[in-house]
Amino acid sequence: MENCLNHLTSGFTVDGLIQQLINGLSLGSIYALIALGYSMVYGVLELINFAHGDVFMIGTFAVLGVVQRFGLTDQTSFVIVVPALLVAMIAAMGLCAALGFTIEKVAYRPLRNAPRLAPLISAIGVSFVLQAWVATYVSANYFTLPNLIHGEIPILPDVSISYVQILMFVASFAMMFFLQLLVRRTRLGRGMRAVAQDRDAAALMGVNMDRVVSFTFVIGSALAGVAAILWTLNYSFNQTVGAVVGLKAFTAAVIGGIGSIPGAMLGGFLLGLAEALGAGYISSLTCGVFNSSYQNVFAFAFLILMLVFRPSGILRQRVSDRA
Amino acid sequence: MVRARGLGVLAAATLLPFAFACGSSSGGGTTASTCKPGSVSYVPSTTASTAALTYAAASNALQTAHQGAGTVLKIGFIGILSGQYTSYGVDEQRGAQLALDAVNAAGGITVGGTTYTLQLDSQDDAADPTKGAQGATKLVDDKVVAVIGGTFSGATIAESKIFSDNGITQISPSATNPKYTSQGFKTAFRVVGRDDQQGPADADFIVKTLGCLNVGVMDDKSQYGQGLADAVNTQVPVDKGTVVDREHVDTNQTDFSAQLTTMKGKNPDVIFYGGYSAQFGPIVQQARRLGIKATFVSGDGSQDADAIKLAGSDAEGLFASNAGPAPSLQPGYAAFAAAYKAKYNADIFQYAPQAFDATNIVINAIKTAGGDKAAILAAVTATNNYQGVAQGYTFTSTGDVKVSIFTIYKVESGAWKAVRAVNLNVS
Repeated sequence: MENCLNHLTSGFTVDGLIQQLINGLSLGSIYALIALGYSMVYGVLELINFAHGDVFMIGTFAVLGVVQRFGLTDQTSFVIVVPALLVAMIAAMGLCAALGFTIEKVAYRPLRNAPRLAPLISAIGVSFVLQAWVATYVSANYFTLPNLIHGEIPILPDVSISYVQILMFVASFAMMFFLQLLVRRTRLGRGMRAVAQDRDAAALMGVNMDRVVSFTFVIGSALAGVAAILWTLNYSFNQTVGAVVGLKAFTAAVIGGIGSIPGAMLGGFLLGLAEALGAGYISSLTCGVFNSSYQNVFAFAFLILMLVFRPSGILRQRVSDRA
Repeated sequence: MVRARGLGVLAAATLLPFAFACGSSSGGGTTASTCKPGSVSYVPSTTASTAALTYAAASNALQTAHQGAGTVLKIGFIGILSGQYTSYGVDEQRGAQLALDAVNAAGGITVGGTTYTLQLDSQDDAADPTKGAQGATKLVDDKVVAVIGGTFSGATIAESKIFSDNGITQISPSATNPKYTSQGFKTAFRVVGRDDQQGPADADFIVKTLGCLNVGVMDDKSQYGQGLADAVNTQVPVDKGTVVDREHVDTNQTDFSAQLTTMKGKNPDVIFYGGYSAQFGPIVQQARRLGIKATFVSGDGSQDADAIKLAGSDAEGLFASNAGPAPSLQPGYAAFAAAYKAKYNADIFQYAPQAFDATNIVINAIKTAGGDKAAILAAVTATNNYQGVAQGYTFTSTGDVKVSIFTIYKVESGAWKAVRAVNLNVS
């Protein structure tokens, strides 16, 4: 018991807590960006696009390709790194958007009037194809990028927030802001909202369903491209990264309320925090009975609790039930 | 005795007079290090004096000329031939193939009037126990007389049951988890040391050689990684060090910041990681970004080129142990490396010499036993001081090697350099 108390006190410091919060929020901002893609597609088509995580994965490899092409290293100066990363971001967004557009055309559109399970199976098939393609023709190894963006801002003597982490917050908030503008203020955005509310009525009012759906996939996938470049700046990746991270992001979308854009963001940040704090403190809180390998358990335990107590998610807007 | 049963340290030798400094790998740390490097004396390794091995390099022309002559005897190979660790399995497969080529080029093996030519029957286990069991069953169906493999411990353990049930000799060139040879299977052999020898050797290196008392231990929860980390965890207190934190990650995890932040709060001088390079490299990179200055030490799963590539500029100063002697101390390495290069136009990745030796142990057995799998098993069991490329081999009653050699490597100028050899003798 004394040992346990010791465990508790030695495991807990204010510095550590703040650092874990920063870790959780930066991871969460990536979950949020990917969750937006799941949520938007679900909003419009009521389809869970299980290939979305793999679109993100293709984005990470696009970034890797650009970084290798430019021959970037730790020593490369800022003057070259910044434009190179912009190119990488455009490449990742472009490739992901094109891929999302193609997947929708090839794998989902022919099944639009099929039973609801059919496009879901098709999505899983696309996911397998993308992973196997990368493993076979690109590489099955893990990759990391060099430390391209150096430096951090100290907050406390032992706590700092790195420029990469700041970039993650800024980028994800900026993306959400633009997305809201797009959905609220543009003609296509209005079309998206109309289709989400009632597909048939929207079609009768002259909304071009195919265009709206394609547009939704392109925007969602481009956001996955942004998530991809942020991911590669901090974490490692291989062909399975999309499956692992995608599942978390999907969880985030459900927690926040699938179909809701602010909900996806909120879900992402909550999930990131739950994982970081859970993995960071479970061992201390349970006297070492559970350990930090339970990190993944938190994400999915959170999901189960959410489904039990608030199945529509935190911010799900109640749309009138479809007839 | 916390150390593995029946083990005594025979000799511990540094290869280089070498000043170890703890926690200095990335400049001045904010916390005072408790490391007090011990002085280590140079003792020449016993393996260095072993007589050079005669190696018959096979020419491809000869090999094809002899194929089809006499009775074909199938030798099984099982290992990682797909997925992210393919380099390990392919390397071992090539080692085994080179040994068979040499035999076939010389006209096969003639025992009791029958001439046998040897054929390699390769199965992929993808480092996965389920696929390993499937591959092993396929090899049994193919009527192989002996098997070289598997590559990683988890799959190898799954395969060993099937080979044991069918009385087929299995020699793993690289599985280090103790369980493999501790299941009471008469058919399970390995030509490298065990993790319950490697782990204590790593702990001794950290506490006694590096002189670092505060050790953080991490692993990937894999059969191999956790087994090795547990062994370090047990030995550190025996050496009068302290394990300040124990963390676990997952083999497909890519963000380690939560575990590393907890680790940082406990101020370890050294962090030991039990697992593979795919995680070790990124862990080191992310640790440095979080401002962790501790020295990193890992085991044989991380002592490869991938670890250096993934850790990038943070790779300098990493330590990792590996089973087997350093290439420069392997008596037959140069000749073997040349033959390997000639056939595959590639450099040895890791365990090809051990796979070559394991295959030759089987071939030696066939020379006396012929094509009968039970007789081959008896002959392999009786292997006494067989001099291979990497070292000399005598099997203990459990199927382990009598002399296990571990080497500790350090990343210097972007490459692994051997800095210390540890020879352990089963008494």
